[in-house]
Amino acid sequence: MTDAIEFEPGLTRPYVLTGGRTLGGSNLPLEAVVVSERVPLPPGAAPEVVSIVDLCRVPFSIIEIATHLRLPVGVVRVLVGDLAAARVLAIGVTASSEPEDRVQLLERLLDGVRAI
Amino acid sequence: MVSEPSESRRAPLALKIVVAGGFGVGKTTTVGAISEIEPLSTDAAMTEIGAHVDCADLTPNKIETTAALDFGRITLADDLVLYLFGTPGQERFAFMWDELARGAVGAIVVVDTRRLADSFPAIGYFEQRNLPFVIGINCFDGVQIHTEAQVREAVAVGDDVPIERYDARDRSTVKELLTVLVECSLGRARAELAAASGVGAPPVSA
Repeated sequence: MTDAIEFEPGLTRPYVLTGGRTLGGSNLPLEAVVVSERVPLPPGAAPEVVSIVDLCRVPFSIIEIATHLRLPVGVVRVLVGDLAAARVLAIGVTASSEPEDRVQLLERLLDGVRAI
Repeated sequence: MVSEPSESRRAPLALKIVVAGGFGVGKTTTVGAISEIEPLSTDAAMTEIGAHVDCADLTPNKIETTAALDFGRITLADDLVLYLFGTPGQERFAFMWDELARGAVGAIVVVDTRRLADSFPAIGYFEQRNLPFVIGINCFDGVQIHTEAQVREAVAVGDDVPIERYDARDRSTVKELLTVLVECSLGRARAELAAASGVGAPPVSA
């Protein structure tokens, strides 16, 4: 736990990092899982970007990335959205609203939960 | 390697379940009982949090306050992960509930029968969102003051909402509660599919 009185590091910087954008990737669900592709990062990538790509050598969700790297969720969404567009990251599927897909998904989930 | 040259590594498919209920009712304990990771809290990363006020006087053993929301993870297969999100208890975090409910499989509403009214906002919210949910009566220290029938009457939910007793610290009972919820969601999804294609829905049991 951190002390109660402490300056929040990087309070401004992450939003500078996204160029003030808050919309790109903003629809990514908190649980969407991200994994790094084995491609080189663009030269001069920001440390936060490098951290995300490093972390996601094993799959992590948006919320986990934000928590581990202590970045706001909104910033993670924007950066992940950009990295996915550049094919540096792959984003996994989340729940579909199509009834047929949903039934199949929930059947898999039920089998999975029963096997815990 | 026999895979396609530029084949992307598949990121797992992720589903989520929301764990809601009043403050200090056992949401974090519920998540922690079954999560493969220690429940993580987003601290201030999710939102700007000022002074934190919670009514903890009714639950003297509760020392730590859940700052924003916490979550756990269950990897069910190489390509399937389930996340559990504990909702922040306060009214003023209501905006976060929409985010959590979006695309969720369903919700668990944890109730303490000594403070049933604390669960009303969550129950009302999920009813209004039309999100499948189950009510889990967390039996602290094996104590249950009210029966399931009394709870059902008090919270005024339909027979389609399962009400189960469980122990938030006990992995097997949490698993059972999750199973009941997923069955409930699956039943709903099958009914919707059947309605869309004009045939009767088969029963859920496997």
